[in-house]
Amino acid sequence: MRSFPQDHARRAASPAEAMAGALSRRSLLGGAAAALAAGVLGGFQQSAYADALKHVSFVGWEGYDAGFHVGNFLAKHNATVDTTYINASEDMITKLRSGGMGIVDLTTFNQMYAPLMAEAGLIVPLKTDRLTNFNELLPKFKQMAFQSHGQCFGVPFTFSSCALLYNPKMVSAAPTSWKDFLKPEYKGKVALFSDALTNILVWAPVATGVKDPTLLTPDQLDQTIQLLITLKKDHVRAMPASLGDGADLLTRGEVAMIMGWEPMVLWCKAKGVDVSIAQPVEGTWGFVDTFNIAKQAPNLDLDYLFIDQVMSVDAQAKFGNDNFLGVTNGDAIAKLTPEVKALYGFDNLDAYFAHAHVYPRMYPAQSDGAHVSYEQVLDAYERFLKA
Amino acid sequence: MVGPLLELRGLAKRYGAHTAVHPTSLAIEKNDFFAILGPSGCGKTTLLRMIGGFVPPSEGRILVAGADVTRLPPERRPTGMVFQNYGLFPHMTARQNIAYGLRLRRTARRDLDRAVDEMLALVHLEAFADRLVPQLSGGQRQRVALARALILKPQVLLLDEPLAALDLKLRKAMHRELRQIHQAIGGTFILVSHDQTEVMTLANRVAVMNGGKVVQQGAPRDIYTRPADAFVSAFVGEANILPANRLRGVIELAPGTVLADPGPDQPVNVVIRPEQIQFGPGAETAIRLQARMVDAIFLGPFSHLRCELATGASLLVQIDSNDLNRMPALGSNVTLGWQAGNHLVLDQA
Amino acid sequence: MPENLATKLTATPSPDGRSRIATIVLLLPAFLVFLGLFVAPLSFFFVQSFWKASIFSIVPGFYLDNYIEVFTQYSGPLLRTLDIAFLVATVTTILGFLFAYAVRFSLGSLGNVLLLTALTTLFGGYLVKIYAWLTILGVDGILNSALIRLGLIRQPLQILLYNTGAVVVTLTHYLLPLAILPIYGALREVDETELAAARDMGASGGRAMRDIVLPQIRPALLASFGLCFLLAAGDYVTPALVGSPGRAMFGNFIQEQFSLRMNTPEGAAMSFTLIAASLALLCVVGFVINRVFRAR
Ligand SMILES: Nc1ncnc2c1ncn2[C@@H]1O[C@H](COP(=O)(O)OP(=O)(O)O)[C@@H](O)[C@H]1O
Ligand SMILES: [Mg+2]
Repeated sequence: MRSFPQDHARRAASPAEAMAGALSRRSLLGGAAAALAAGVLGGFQQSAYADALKHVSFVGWEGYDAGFHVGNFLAKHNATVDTTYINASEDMITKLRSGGMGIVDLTTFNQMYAPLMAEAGLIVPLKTDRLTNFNELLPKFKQMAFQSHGQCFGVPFTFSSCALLYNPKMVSAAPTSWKDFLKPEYKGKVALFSDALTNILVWAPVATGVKDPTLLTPDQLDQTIQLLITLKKDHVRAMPASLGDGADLLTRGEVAMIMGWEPMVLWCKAKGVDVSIAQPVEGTWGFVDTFNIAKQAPNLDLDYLFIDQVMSVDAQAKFGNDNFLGVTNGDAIAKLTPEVKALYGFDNLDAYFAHAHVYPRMYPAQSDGAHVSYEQVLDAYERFLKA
Repeated sequence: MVGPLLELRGLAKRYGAHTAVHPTSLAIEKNDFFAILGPSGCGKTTLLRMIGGFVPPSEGRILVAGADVTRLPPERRPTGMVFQNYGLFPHMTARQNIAYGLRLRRTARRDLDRAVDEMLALVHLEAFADRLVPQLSGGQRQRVALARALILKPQVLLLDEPLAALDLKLRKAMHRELRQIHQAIGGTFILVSHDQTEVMTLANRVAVMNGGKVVQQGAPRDIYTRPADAFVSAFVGEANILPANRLRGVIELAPGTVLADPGPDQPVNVVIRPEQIQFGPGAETAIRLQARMVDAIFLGPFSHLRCELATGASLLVQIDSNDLNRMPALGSNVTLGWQAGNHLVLDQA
Repeated sequence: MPENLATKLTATPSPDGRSRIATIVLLLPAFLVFLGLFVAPLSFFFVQSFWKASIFSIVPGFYLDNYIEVFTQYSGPLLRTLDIAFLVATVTTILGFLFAYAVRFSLGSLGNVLLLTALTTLFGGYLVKIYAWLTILGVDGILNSALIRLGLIRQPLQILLYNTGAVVVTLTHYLLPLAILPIYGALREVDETELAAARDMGASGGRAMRDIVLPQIRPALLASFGLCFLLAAGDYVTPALVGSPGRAMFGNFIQEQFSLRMNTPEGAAMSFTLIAASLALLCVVGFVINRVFRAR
């Protein structure tokens, strides 16, 4: 099978995957080399070479491994990273379930997924006192880290959101609501995400006024799907297959407004097109990705050091600046470029998160009777796709 | 007066700087079995394909029964062609191949079947009618190709080396058949060939081509006995060609052997056919030459002796194979000779 | 084709045991590769297609539920996918034939240049072609700009992109070289003299093409059609990038089952349904080609 760009946008749960353009070639090539090394050396790693080079296996989004390479961290610990990049969150689950347990060290699940993955026995709770940089987390993220029964299954590491982006030259007034997508003047000039979770989590509050779209009644789910179908049939120009394609729609003048992502603003700017971020009254979904340690991770002690490293000020700043993404270490903010700082309104993060809602957990695996399960959401979404 | 059936007027074909056929004019009468004879590459196929409409001429005109067909596509010309490699349809049976032309003409089923059966009988293929082309032998394919063209009763049938791919024996048999067919159904045939025996056997008129030009035309016998130049003499039948000089009406072939031949002083070729040369110490002929016998070649009913003159030139002499064992040993000196008037003197170009 | 292989194997004379053993030894690697790469994974997924996925596990057994679900839930996307694939394969095969025909019989040495050019576009890669069409068909694309400059339209046309037409154009462009290759190969086996002979007997160019050329290249036509059809039917990237928004192809749903929903049994059942439907359709197409272009 060919590589499939749609996979990129498939999950906006951790949207940083589509940073293709922003990512350095080095990390890409490094990844390939590491993968090769893993193939060659994998069989030896836990045997007689205890004092030799340590291989830490990372399975996650491309670019999230960049922090390991900041400074002389790897050399200092005589370690190297075996990298497996993913195209969708589910790839991490597949990898762990199909023989990855005992081999994989680190994953990067969205904070919504993390508790569910721990429940499924794929990742372990973290002892945050082993992380010197944990205390540098902005209070909001420190709190977020423990929101599941007081346990921490992942260290929040980056954030962003599904932003309503628009081209000021193509709208009569700045949009104030996602419902502006339905205005006749923008017919055929708007674009959705092509990711199930993002579309549902963004449009359910619009369709039903629900506060927490991860808790939907069957009725509310139905109304959401109806609205999505209306959008698709009568208003939408395209459902870009990847985040890069979404930005392209804006730069090529195909659409006036889209369900977008903060880094797109700077991608478009690089192509000479100015786009703005609107503040729709319904708010939007905020993505927070975390670093997790897999169950039976072979290098548990080292894994803590690895997470500590990516949370360090320098690693965070480099990550944020390279990828135009939000960071969670408070001390790293000062080192961000003005553009990135402006994108996420770091002077008033409370306002940002009042708008970009971060939901505590995924849809339940099984319905509790009142609310729909994840399966039901996916079934309903297929109905939208087939319509 | 009725004009010729097919007339070529200054017909020529050039490929870029290369001239495949120089301007050629020919008149072919109705019911002629006309042959175009020439070595490989001399432009025969090109000429024939121009007549058939497959190659657009660079200049000149083609008239059939007085009507100009120069610009007509092949399907609208009253000509039919048997191609050098036949061009049979391999996915069809012999019968389907032969029927194809009539099917295109929407001939009624019954007429079509009858015509095809007739053709199959004419070329003796009744037993093979329902075989696919790849299952037929070379000779059978050849006959399918012939029948396929004949069934449309073309005013002019064009045959491009139709027998070249067959072995000698089959070729001889086909010569007989072709003659019979021409006699049976009449019509005008134009045969292209590089094989002079084939042409001699089949044609009543011949045009000899060389280097894209028709160098001589006439009845086969005239061409054989009175070739226009050294090329024709050598190409049509076997010929000994002795280069010499004419000085004041005398040609000296060898020291002591002279021919009287009035004409301007210039280099000439003396042409004498092997069967005209007599052999032996007692040859009572007007012209005599001393030579050394260097080789004897058995050719069936007759044989060739190769003899070398003192000048280094060599002559082929034809003898009856029955006389072969009465010949002197190789290396002996012999006397050759011929009657005055049997040789031909051609000015060198 | 396995039948061909089988007939070849049985037809091979084996005068003595040693040469037979040598033949087996020589064929063994190919046989193992065939087994390992084709038979084994397919059988594995075929068996799985009768299993059942429950929340976090897969239950072996023999259930037809997956197939029932395919027909009740996904027949719409399946038919749409087959429909588009059929359209694309038809257009591509016809264009591929015309192109190969011109190269083989009409264009002389210029034809070889064109053929080479067409084939080099295979190197461009698949996504490059899709993005090329985005820049051609978009509202500020080359086509719209040209039409506006020519004064033929005033507003850019929206209908050029994000619909089935764009999918057909893009896939045709991508698949055309693949369609040309088998057809051109078959046309090289057809002697030009056959065409000349047909013309000589009174056939027009078109008639000669239909009576003489097409019947002889029927297997190649089916090969080209089949290749294009299967690639188009399995494709879901092009429709996602240039097709109607959200008009997911069957392949999207298959992919979804394997990744997002982690329901390999359902994904396998959907794959086998697609394979079976495609093969059935190709059989029909093969039958039609054989009939329409049979020798008469
Ligand atoms: N299509 C063509 N392009 C260029 N030259 C050609 C072409 N066809 C024939 N010729 C040249 O014309 C000359 C005559 O060819 P042809 O008529 O086939 O000869 P023949 O049939 O007497 O063997 C040859 O030198 C051949 O190379
Ligand atoms: Mg020839």
